[in-house]
Amino acid sequence: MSLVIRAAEPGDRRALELLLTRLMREHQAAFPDAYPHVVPEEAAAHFADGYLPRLVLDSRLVVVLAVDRAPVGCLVGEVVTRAVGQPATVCFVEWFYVEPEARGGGIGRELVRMGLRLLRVHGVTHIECQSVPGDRQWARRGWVETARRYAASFEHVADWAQLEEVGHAPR
Amino acid sequence: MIRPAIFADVPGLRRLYAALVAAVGPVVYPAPGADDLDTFTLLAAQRIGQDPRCLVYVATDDDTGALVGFLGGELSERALGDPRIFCAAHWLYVLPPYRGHGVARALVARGCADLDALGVTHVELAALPGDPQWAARGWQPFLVHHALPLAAVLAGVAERPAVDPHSPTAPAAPAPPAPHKAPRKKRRRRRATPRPRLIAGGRA
Repeated sequence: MSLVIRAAEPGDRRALELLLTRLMREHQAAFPDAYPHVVPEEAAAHFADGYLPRLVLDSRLVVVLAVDRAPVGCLVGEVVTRAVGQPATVCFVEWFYVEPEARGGGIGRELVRMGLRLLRVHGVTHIECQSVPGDRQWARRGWVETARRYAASFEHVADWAQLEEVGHAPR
Repeated sequence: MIRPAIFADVPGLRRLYAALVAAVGPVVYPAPGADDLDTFTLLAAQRIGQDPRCLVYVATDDDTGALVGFLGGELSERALGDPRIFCAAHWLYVLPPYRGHGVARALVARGCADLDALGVTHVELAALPGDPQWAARGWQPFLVHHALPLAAVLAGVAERPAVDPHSPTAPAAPAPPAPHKAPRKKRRRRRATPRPRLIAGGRA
């Protein structure tokens, strides 16, 4: 077998869809209550379709595949620019996955190396990613938590807002 | 008085945003930029009254009419996932002298009235790490945002060389066999005396 790490091409749409489906299934098995809820097959097809036209035209989209006869891993990142705050332009890692059977061989690191090479032209100084609360893998690797996102149902927010109006203490 | 913001509120919103940033204090990442206040002002001027997804409400002093607080957010839609449409709340701020009178809740209640009409079922927001106020109010954390300088990412992938057992670049010749050792006779191990445990700095 020969492992190839390379930038994804339009012909890799199906491979991307398969890998993203497996990633989301594995993630949902580990974190079944993750919010928002997605259907892995539907979401993977949607994202793969969205990436397809951009693979050639948009250098801000960085998609790297690990292929060992069949695709075994992928890294998808995007160069994004925020309106306020520094650094303004960063790479946000959307998906990062290596098949369970292929783990432990350094494929993840090779994907990251290739991704960093593709990012050089953008002058990015920081990489960002998100995980669900309780997923400690990024903290273990030295990544620093910069924000935490919260959600509440409309009823919860409305309830809180109206309580004060009648003089109740917050719950 | 609580009401939706209008274009004429932009200078007042600029002052409130500056006060909010000062109140939050230094943020490590992303660090405040020199142009942030101008960018906020420009975005407010461009979107308030123009973009129906932009939801900004202001609280005014009943006597002077000056802005004393504001709530800003937007209607967002994710491509996939449930809930698909939600409100992303960005800012909620009330000047210190006006706190403790229900101004923030009144702003939120006014926003909720619009969200109710739009059929929004969830509100989302981002908070600084270690800020307990939203969890204390019953909000559920659902995503943790991480960042790392590029140099640290590079160092992380360089510190341990990739070893792919299937790679053709791996040594073709098998490693020499380990020198043969005669099997050692199994001996019944005597239970060793339990080692002392370290408890609170002293030996038990």
